[in-house]
Amino acid sequence: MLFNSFHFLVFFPIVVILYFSIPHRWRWLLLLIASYYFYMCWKVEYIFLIVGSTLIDYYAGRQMGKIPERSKRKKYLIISLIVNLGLLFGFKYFNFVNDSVRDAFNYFNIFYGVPAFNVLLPVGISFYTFQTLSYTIDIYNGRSKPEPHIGKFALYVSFFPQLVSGPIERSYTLLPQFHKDNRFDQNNVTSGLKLMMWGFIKKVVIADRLGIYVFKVFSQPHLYEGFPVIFASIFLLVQVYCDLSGYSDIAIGTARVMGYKLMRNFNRPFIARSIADFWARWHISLTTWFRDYLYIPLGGNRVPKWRWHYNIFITFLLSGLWHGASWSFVIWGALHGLFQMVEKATKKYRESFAEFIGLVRAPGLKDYINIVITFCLICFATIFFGARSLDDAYILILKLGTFSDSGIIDNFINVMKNKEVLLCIIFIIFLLVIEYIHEKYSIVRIIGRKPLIIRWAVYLGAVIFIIVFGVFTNVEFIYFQF
Amino acid sequence: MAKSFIIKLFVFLGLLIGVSLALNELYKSFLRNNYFSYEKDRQFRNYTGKLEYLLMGDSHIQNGINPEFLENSFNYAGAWENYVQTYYKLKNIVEEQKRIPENIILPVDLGSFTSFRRERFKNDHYWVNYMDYFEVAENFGDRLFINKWIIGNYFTYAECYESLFKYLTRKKRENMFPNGFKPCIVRNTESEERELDGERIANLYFKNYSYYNSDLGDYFGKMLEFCEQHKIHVILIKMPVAREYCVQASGYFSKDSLYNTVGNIIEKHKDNTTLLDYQELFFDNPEYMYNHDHLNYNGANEFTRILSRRLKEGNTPSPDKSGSLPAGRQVPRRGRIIDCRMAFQSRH
Repeated sequence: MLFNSFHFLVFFPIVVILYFSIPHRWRWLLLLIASYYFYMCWKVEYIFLIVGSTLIDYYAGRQMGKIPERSKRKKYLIISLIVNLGLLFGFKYFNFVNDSVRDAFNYFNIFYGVPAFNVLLPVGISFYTFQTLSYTIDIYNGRSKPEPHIGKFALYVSFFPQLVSGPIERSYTLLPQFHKDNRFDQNNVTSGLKLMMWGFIKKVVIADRLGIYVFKVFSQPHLYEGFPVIFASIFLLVQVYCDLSGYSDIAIGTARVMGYKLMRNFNRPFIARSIADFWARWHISLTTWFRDYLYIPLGGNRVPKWRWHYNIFITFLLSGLWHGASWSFVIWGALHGLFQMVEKATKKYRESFAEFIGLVRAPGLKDYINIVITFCLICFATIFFGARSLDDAYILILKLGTFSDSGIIDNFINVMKNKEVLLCIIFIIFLLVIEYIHEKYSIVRIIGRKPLIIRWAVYLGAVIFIIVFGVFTNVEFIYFQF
Repeated sequence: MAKSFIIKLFVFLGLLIGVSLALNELYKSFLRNNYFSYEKDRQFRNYTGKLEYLLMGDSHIQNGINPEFLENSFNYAGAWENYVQTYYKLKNIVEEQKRIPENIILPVDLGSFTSFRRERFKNDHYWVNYMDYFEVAENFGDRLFINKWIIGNYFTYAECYESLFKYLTRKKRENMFPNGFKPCIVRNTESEERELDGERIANLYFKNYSYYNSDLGDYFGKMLEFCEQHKIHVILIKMPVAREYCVQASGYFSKDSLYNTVGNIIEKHKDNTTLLDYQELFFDNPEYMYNHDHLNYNGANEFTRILSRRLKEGNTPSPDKSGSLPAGRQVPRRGRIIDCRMAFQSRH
């Protein structure tokens, strides 16, 4: 079930009405049934994967909770890791590894007969397996206690607002909320609905609109050069941002209506002044997951410098792999790792250079330059994220700096004559302006102080805006493929 | 507090529904006066001539056959129309409007069965008048069609800014040609541009899509069966395309595979079907092509004359490259064309 579907528009109010109508002690059951129904709308059989993962992790958590010594808990952690990572590997990475090994064998003319595993990738598998892994790892580390109520634990694994595309929640923040009696709170409902509306604008109006032009260029890269490729790369980055942050806003808003608080997943990543800053603002739930369960266990930055850089590189390499089972995602992740390594290694020299040319006296200008450079680097890396193959990524990179015989200016004018491109640029400016104003002055508060008729006119206008300018063809959320 | 909030919510929702319905009606009325297919519907309703040939299908037919040169014909084809849509439209013409043509002319081109077409159902505001979306949803196992039915009936203004902008900013309204014809302008294109054009559309149809979608094939078969039941003879035409497009398409799939699959469907209704292959007709005449797979005005007129001769006289010498009807075979001047089995094979 997509958030941007009539099905969800019928499903959600029914769930909310029932939620506030039934006693608190049965709400977990209602939400669990709703969440399983939500997931089964994709493919009924895959519910067994979630249920299986839930039962294994519940058992592992309970057993670990009975054992005071950390070392003796290891076998249950290993069971949880094998099951969850095994599921992930089997459904998501087996064919990638298999194809890569086949290519290597073929290169040496050695026969390789292992067939491909032809099965549809379960939606959201990367998200819920990471969520359950964080539960068992936290219990192992003594950071949280096992949940005794199997139903509430199952709800933690499958909670429908964030089941298929995050945010990836920690057990110690989300599980306790299922024990609280959430009374009807008008502020939660209205702010949740407003957040959902903003999420729909980002997803349906901006992301899907950008996606049309991006698809046109990225699906036939050899037919475009120069500014079309540059614009398509920028649009792709904004599309991915609006798609994922839009989904996150809808998820957070949906949960908030029922009184649940999910973590903020994005914090204006396009004003990041460095790659490290970017990752502190982008897909925060995933970044913090990798930080807490991979980067820090590897040693973090409390190791020799070479090891520190290695930890950063490996963390981002695996983050890239998490996003997709293909070499272009691996390279995307590796690029981010490399950028961060270079950033940290050259920090001293860059600061000296900035001082030398006098930028220190103009901190605002220095910030803008940093923002632009960071944005350009992220856009460049995103080409690998969006390209259909390494070959396509290579062609796109070559075409970035290629201009037709008519020259740079004509190439730019031609692309600006395209109404689609102009509309995309307008929407991006609209997005940046709204986010800026909201950050500075809180648009929600400004509108909230206006008379009822103005508020309703704004809300009505926003809904009509979504319907008129939205894209309603069969477009899924990008991050569903993860 | 909860009670007053709920009351306000219901009032707001009521207002939203009211505004939405009003916008829906307003936009529907705007479309009825501006969308080409509604104008064609009006033309068809007002067509009182003999319906010897009803031309249906996509823009290849819409732009490629001029009824002015094909006596007793009406061109009811539409841009991007696929076999599912054509099937239901034909059903409506026969069962609701009680108009039964003697012959129906349909395209069977390289891109007619691609899954790109299967995923492209647009203009639901128009097609809700013809298509049974619930039946299609059941046949395809795709609930999205129910969404499309809702949008087509109650949210026609969804995504409307593009078409609204197009209709409001066009310099002048396109003139309707008689009997539904909609020609493409004549323009000169360099060979390099044609090659790029051919590559672009071949990529669009085939690069990321299967060349044959079974859902479209099923509805194609249903259409042939429907015509057989109502004694409507089916004339299938491989419309002229540019050489460059043909070459590019061949890089993605085997045309023999496509035509063998389609031929198996036709085989079940061979007694009611005629196949005419004009695909290479204008390979050496790019001046007749608007783009890779559409004829321009001159090309449409020339092609229609050739087709008309073929259908009406049948026994003419063949300066054209069509080949399904063997030379010397008698074809009645009026009425049903003699079935011509087979030869639905690629000539490349």
